[in-house]
Amino acid sequence: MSSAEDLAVLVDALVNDPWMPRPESVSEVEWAEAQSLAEVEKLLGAQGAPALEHDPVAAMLGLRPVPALVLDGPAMKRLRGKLSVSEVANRLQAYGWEVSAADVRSWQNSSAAVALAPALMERIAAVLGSTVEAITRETGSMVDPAIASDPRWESIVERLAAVLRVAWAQAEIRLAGAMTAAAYRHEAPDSFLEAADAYVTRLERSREA
Amino acid sequence: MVEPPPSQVQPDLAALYVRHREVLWRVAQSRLPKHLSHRTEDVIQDVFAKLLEKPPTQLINNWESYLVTLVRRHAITVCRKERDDRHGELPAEDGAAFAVGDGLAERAEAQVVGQALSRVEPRRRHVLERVVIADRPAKEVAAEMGISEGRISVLKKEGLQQLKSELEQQTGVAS
Repeated sequence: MSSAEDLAVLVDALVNDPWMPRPESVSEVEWAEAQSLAEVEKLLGAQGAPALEHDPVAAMLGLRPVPALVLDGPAMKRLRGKLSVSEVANRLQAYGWEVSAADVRSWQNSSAAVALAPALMERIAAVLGSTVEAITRETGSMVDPAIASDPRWESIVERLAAVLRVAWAQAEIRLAGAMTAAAYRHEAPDSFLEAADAYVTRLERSREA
Repeated sequence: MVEPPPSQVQPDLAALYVRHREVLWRVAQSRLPKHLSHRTEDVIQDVFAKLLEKPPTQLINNWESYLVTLVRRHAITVCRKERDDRHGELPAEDGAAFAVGDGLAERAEAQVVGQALSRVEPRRRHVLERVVIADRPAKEVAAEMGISEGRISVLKKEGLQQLKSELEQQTGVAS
């Protein structure tokens, strides 16, 4: 290889096709250098994760709050019993959640509706030895009643529950959260159900991939 | 209810994902060739779907490292499948290309890359920011800077070399 410019061209080629064979004119040392620079270029060009509200993996894991499902602060306070807010926070932290005692205090005392990630609400309920139903209240329908009463919805939620290994009720919350994306908001029931079906089918395929 | 001691608790996948998703996406993106970048989401989703189905039975000491390894491996699997589809099955040793730089992407979180980039010589950084990060055509950036396209290539290569060296110093990866 004759020049720095040739090396730069080779790096570009490797970024686009990491399986290209080493050209005869390129020495092994030059090849290794080009490969490592291609790696740095890809690292630099990587965009990182999308915003949480647009992240499909976050939706799958129950990180997208459902606006109509909010924490019931007084119920939480009652169910906390002898556990202090610090103890609740410490237990949540042990499960990986970045939650402080001040957060717990604010959730239970807030007069505003606090919609947390369903996965976090599930853990809070478990830490309190309770259920999500007991620590939350619905401020409206999680999904359009016409959809919720459709047998197809029930079946889709059931499939999701199998994929996520959670109870049907939890799966319904997760699915409602995933389907809060703007793209689905104004869909007619049939289109909404088709989109929900496609979403779950994709997760089923992911599990088998 | 009796809670297990924190050291024996398996963290929630959702909580782990919130904490590590930036680096996981970056690792997946950096492992996939440009034309497969649209598969990044699939790679991460597949990994977590499998973890949901079959969580690790042993206690994991370093979750970031564990998740990064899973994502990296799956990205390579996706690459290999694509490669085989395109070129037919190639000899196993061809996988050597993926071993180069192991450890660099894993440790180079967004913040680390940003810090390293800020130490790159300004003209080189200017080129990296426009050609690599913003993905603008070299010809356009060359015209803007009043230099040849060939000079852009050289500045980009020098910038990548300097960035690699900065990253290695920051992350403790030997060159």
